[in-house]
Amino acid sequence: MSAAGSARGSGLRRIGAMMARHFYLIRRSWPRLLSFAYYPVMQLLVWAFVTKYLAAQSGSQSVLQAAPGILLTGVLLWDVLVRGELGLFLSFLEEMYSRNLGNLFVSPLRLHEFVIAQMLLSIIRVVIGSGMALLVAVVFFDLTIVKQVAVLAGCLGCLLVFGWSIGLIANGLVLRFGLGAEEIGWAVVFLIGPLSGAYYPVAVLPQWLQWVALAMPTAWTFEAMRAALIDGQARWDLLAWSLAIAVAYLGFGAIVFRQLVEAGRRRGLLLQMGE
Amino acid sequence: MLTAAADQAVVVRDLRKSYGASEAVRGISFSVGRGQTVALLGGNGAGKTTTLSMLLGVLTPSSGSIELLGLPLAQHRYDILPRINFTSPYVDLPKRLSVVENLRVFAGLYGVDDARQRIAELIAELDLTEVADRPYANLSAGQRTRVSLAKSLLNSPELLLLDEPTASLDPDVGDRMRSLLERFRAQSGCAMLLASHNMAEVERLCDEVIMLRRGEIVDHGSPAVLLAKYGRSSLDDVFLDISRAEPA
Repeated sequence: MSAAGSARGSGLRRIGAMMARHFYLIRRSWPRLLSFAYYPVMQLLVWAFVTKYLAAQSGSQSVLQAAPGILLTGVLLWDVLVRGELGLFLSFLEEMYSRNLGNLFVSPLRLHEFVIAQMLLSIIRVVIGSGMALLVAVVFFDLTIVKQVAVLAGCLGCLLVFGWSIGLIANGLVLRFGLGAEEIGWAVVFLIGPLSGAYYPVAVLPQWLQWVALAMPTAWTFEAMRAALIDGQARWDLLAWSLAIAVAYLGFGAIVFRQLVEAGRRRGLLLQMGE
Repeated sequence: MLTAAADQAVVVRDLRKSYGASEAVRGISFSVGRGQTVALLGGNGAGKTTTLSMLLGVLTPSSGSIELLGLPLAQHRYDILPRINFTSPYVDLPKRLSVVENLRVFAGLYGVDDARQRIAELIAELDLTEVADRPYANLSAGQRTRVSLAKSLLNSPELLLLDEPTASLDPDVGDRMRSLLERFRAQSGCAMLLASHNMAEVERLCDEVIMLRRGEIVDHGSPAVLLAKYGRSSLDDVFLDISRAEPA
């Protein structure tokens, strides 16, 4: 094997080791595994019944009558964003609470391998959590967007990438400012909620907030979702914008995370992390 | 104290670390030969942990240079890290993973060949068989220290950095750990740099002692040389003489 191939193999092995570390944890705790699906399914159930109630109360011209899955799909996709962010953030917090970051930073594990492992773990969280909620929505509430699998996959991808970018920044802030900054990691994704357009078009926002909303991939993704549900159109142009913005945020998140790790290295924070 | 880099595991030149106006390490230079064991001694705030952190690449020096295993650390961190290891009672392993699971994870991170056999060897050698499947959180402080030591030996390092390696071990287990380190050094030719407050341990394990005070090297030499120089019968007394002396 060439040196480059060998290095790549070692990198994959280190990523595998980081994933194994979390698999061992999950294997030991069934409640933890169940919690991946518990919150998305419960949230979906609440919104599903709210949707049913509102659809019954509203006239035949209601958007809920025209596109009954619109709120449910919004809930599902919003959850993908949250799980994408938390997938990174929670696995990082786990290392901090374990006071294990020091061991990781002095090991041959590279920063990008650490992040890739976290991203793969977040995909698994999304597949388990949001997948279960999607299944419930399809089986019990006749969710229609699954008929547009490609659009749904596009929306999922854009939101996941955006979630990772928020997760990276949250991780960097906790690394730099300690566990006192943990609340930021939990709260930051919800700051985006009102501007996301998950449950309503961003056109209802004040003009200046619309500009802020359009600077995030969420507005474009959820607009593509509504186009698919209400008009039956696959708006790839909207999804392309969303993906481009999400990738730009991911690049920004990666730079911020790296800078904050380097700041931690300068200030001697990397061996002192923990409770 | 500095010799040619080729046969040295550690070469540190004029290393400094400042936090604002405060200088934690003030231009220290030393080397550790391959197969040699050197102790960093000093009171709290002397700069031992700061120095170890810079050698591990988790703290950026303000100035100076570090060469490990013949390579400059700043440029070759990821070539060096698979060949060295570290243990400290102040850095934990994942608490909810068992001993074996923890060792498997780190064997993967260090790219250990035949990890299963290496883990089995270390578990037997460090007397961890009975607790191998127990979560790390449920271990005593002494058992945790042994697991951490097992983690540090997984990759058969050429250089081992030890921060108080036998802290919180009872005298019997502490003695067995020191024997293990001696055996490992004899078999592998590994260089060791340890920070310790246990003078008996330093006397037994170390070829050379570097005395630090307020970020500076104030003396160095073999334990025997230092005992003779200060006219003392134990390193404890030498340590007190040096750490309580007024700076020149």
